[in-house]
Amino acid sequence: MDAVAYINPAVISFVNENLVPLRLLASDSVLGPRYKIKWTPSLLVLDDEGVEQSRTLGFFPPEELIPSLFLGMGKAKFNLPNRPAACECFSKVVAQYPKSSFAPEAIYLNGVSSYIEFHEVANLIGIYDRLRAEYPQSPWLIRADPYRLLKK
Amino acid sequence: MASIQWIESFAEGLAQARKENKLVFADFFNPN
Repeated sequence: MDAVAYINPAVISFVNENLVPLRLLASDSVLGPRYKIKWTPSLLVLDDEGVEQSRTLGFFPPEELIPSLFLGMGKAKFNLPNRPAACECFSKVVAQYPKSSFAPEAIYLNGVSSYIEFHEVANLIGIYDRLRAEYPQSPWLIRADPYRLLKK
Repeated sequence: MASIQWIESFAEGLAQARKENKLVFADFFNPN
């Protein structure tokens, strides 16, 4: 991460502007067990009470790390719940990083957030339709498969 | 040259997150 992702200007800018970056030893005798760190890099998004909101494991290049963190921010907003703010994060992942491996999950969560907020079945159907059209190989299309049955 | 402004104290990181109303990006790493 240090040799590639963390020296990337876009990553530096994104992290410094949007998050509080915290670097912790995986071997920390208190925090390691608390967060069940078994391998590195383990990248977590925490709220300001230290509650885990999302986690990834393993290396990411810059073009994947930023949408990964954006998605994590969206999940944290979703959990609050602040669904409009969550949708804003998820939408930006898709709009700004459409080639990212995280884009399909962002489409899924954006649709789910919108459905919970507005109770419109079209939001769920939209997940399936968009994933089928734009990311037909994504495992997230499988997760959205039941929503095709909602079509009349 | 710009760099990520890492904080190495867990308590300080949470305090800054509360102060700035931000989430924390925690990188658990192995220096070896």
